[in-house]
Amino acid sequence: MKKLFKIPKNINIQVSSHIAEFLSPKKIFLPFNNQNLILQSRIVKKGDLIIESEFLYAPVSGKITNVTTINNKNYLVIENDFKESKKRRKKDNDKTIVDCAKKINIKITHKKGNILYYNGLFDNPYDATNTFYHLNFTTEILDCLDAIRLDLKLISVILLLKDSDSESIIAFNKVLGTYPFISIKIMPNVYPIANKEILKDYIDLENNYLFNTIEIIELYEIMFNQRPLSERLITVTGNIQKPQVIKVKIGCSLEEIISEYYPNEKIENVLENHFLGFNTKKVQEVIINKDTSCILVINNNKNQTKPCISCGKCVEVCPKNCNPILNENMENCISCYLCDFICPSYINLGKKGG
Amino acid sequence: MINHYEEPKLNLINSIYISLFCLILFGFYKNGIKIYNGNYFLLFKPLILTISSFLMGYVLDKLFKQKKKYSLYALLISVCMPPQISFVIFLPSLLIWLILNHYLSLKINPIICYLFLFLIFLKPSFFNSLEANSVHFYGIIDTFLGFNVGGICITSIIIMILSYFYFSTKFYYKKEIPVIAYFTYLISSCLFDILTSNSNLLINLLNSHIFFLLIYILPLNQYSPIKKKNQYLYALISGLLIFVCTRFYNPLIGPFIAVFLINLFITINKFCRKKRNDFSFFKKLLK
Ligand code: SF4
Ligand code: SF4
Repeated sequence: MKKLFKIPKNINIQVSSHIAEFLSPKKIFLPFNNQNLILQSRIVKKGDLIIESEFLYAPVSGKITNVTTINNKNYLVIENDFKESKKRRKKDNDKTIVDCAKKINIKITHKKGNILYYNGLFDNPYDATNTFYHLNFTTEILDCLDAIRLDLKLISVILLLKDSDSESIIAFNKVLGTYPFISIKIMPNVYPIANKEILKDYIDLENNYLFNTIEIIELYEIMFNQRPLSERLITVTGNIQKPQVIKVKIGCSLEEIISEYYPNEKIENVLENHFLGFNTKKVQEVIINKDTSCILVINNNKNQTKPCISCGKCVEVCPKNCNPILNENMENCISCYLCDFICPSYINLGKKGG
Repeated sequence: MINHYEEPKLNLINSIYISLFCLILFGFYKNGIKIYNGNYFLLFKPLILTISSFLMGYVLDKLFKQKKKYSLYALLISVCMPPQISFVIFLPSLLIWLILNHYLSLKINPIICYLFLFLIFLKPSFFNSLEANSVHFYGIIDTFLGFNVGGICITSIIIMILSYFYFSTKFYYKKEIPVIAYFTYLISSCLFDILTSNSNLLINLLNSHIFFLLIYILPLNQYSPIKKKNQYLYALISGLLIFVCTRFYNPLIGPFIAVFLINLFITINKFCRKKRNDFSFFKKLLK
């Protein structure tokens, strides 16, 4: 196992402890691949399955108005009519976890092992989303994990948490007494440990099950509320006045969120999920999807690339033993952008593998 | 910057400047104040030599829009000069060399290349005026502190060792290279001295030129290998070459020749690899 790098946090950013809510965007953008889609101007209800083959659910009620392309990706546009209603129901006991997971395109293949790992790790030190989920959805996460354990007939559930994430550890520890089959395993704060490719060096993933936070939240929604995930938490942080965690609709545009919460700030470039490297996006290009967890605002991303000084640090820190400068072994690259982060010449190395 | 590693406090280049400043001050004491005989030019020679080279490098940096490149090169070269060096030879040759280096974009380490050519062709003596005119014997402690024969500002081994520890705290310094190279030199020296029953082992080990080259020149990022394994090999071969050149040629000029040879080897190796890659590219194209 290669010795992993401990990321120094350059700037300490305090995220507001309150979760803001932005659940009424004017428009929702849903990505789709189907090239032959014939668009009908149709009215949808929240939770309606729009394209069955792509597990595309409507996160709001409204009217599908048109198709648009952002960053070479096709999106269905739903205009929100602000008429959604919430119905809470009990767990659908007839459906197994595998059936429920199928509905939301999560494949659960049978494994030999008896352990269910919960990946509560996160690599981005500026991302508070996971911690906020752990603090505010503690019992939901544990209920769901326990239900999956029962359905899959497993012996135990292990929560993987970072040693630096003390808030999550305390939150889970408070309620773990009522879940005898769930325990916590503390993992070191090294980068990029949350990545499956790296995590498999620490735990046996070949034979055991692994779910991450958003998968568990999504499974909870479908198992206990019989509805697909329509909103999620994201952290908006970086070079802005008030970094905070916001509950947003999946499919809403970042531009709309920014204009709501930061109307007076000049925000141009952001890093989506990553906090390393130079692959920034324009605000207009970002649509919040199920996996968007952190938006890091970068306003000083001037191009300062210099010639390589052969310091060898990119090769030294790479967790997958790639050599991005000589382009060797790049098929193993996991796009962690550690090489970009460390390069004193500000060379965009991760791009090759990413 | 949030998305990039920032070296805490001073970066490596500035640390090298600080360390060189200490060496220059010691050089001023040893090769200026201690040999003062009423001649002010001789008194300030170490300072004038290094500062004028630095300024020359600085002007070139401004001219060629480089960031602390030529000023560092010029400073590193000037501190190695023999104490009795003539300005008329040194400054113009350094200027021509740096300009040549800029326009020809030579891939070999310009510092060691200049020193090699200079020392091989001129074969200067490293005695200062006092040492040249009287019989001197320096003990182990004197040698360690820096009162020994050597380049104008690179005699103080203790300052160099302390600087090494300081550089080692810097992220971009290849700290393993000096240690491996020195231990290779040490082991080969010990073996050789035991086999030949030589009793000058300690004096041979405390060679200030070797310390300077190992700590300041060998780990220079641009001219040393990228991969860790290659760095170790590079250090090992350097240590062996230094041993061979110091023992069988000259203890003061030998280390420079050894480091030049290993740099030459690295440059040729890089060139061959590039050619091989070019060749394979053509092969792919033909396919
Ligand atoms: S080469 Fe790929 S895996 Fe290696 S550090 Fe760069 S982005 Fe990460
Ligand atoms: S980290 Fe950057 S400067 Fe250092 S070897 Fe890699 S590409 Fe070159």
